[in-house]
Amino acid sequence: MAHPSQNKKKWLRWIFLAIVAMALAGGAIFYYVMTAEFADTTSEKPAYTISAIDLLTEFQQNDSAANKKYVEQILAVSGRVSEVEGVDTSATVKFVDSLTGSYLIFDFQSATSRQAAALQPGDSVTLKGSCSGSIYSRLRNAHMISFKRSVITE
Amino acid sequence: MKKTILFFSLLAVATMGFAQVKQTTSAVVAFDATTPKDALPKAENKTVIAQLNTKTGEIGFEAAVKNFAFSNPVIQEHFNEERWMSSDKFPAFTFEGKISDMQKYNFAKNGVYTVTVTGQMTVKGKSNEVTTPATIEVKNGTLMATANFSITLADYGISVGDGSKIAAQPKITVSAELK
Repeated sequence: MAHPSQNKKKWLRWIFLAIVAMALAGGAIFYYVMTAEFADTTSEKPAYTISAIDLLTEFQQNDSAANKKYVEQILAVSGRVSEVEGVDTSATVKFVDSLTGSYLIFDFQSATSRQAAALQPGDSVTLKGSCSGSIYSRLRNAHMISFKRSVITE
Repeated sequence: MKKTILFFSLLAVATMGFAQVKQTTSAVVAFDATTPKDALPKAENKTVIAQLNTKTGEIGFEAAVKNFAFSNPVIQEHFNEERWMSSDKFPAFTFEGKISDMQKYNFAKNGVYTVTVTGQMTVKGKSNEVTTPATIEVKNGTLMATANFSITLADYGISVGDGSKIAAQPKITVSAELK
């Protein structure tokens, strides 16, 4: 039969090992979370597939409901390109409601920027990106619905 | 009659070639709050609305807070949280200002102009005056505007603790091609 002090030492050893294991696991989780990056949007499954016109209408009719529904969701949006703008190596693509001036605007993952810059007004495309929701622009008197980390799917 | 139509057509084209209000919906604003201890809190927003009146020097920017793209999902989530930008409640950053001594500059002429811009920056519903030098390069009617400045987050009610992981005065870089 083991001496009580030997049993105590055994327990202390196990407690010490458990603490070390938990600290290592915690460190590993922290490292994983802090070094994680957003997944490539190309491989993301869209939560919604919708036409640019329908999406614009939804935001203009009830922006708070649309924001609740779409913000931080991956959307696949199809329509005819209204405008392509760019600064340096970045490009944005817009679908504009010509009646109200409200628009959807997509910025792209760096690997897709060049492809996006080559699009022309009138091109039919499907763009997939993370929806950032809408703001009402006082400068343009219109809704802007923006997307980040977008890619061209068609 | 044909000459009159031609004259007015040319006048219209010339006016459109240098409109008084130059604008873009694709200005880029970069936010860098990195510190030697943390390289993650930095982001870019490439869908910023910018407008400049070349006659009065009035200048305006509007950015959707949620469209600042971070590389790290957790940092992006923190950025939008209530204690930081509270982007559900305050979805836009805005800047409304003016170029000082506007009479000195003629943006109808090609050239590089160094100007001073002063205005009200509104972040998280709080407005503070910001003055910054900016460069405006005019090339055939297009204005390329760039500016670098810092803001103090505490002025906007944003606490960063001891500042070791998030810079208390992040650098803001603005780049806009106004047409």
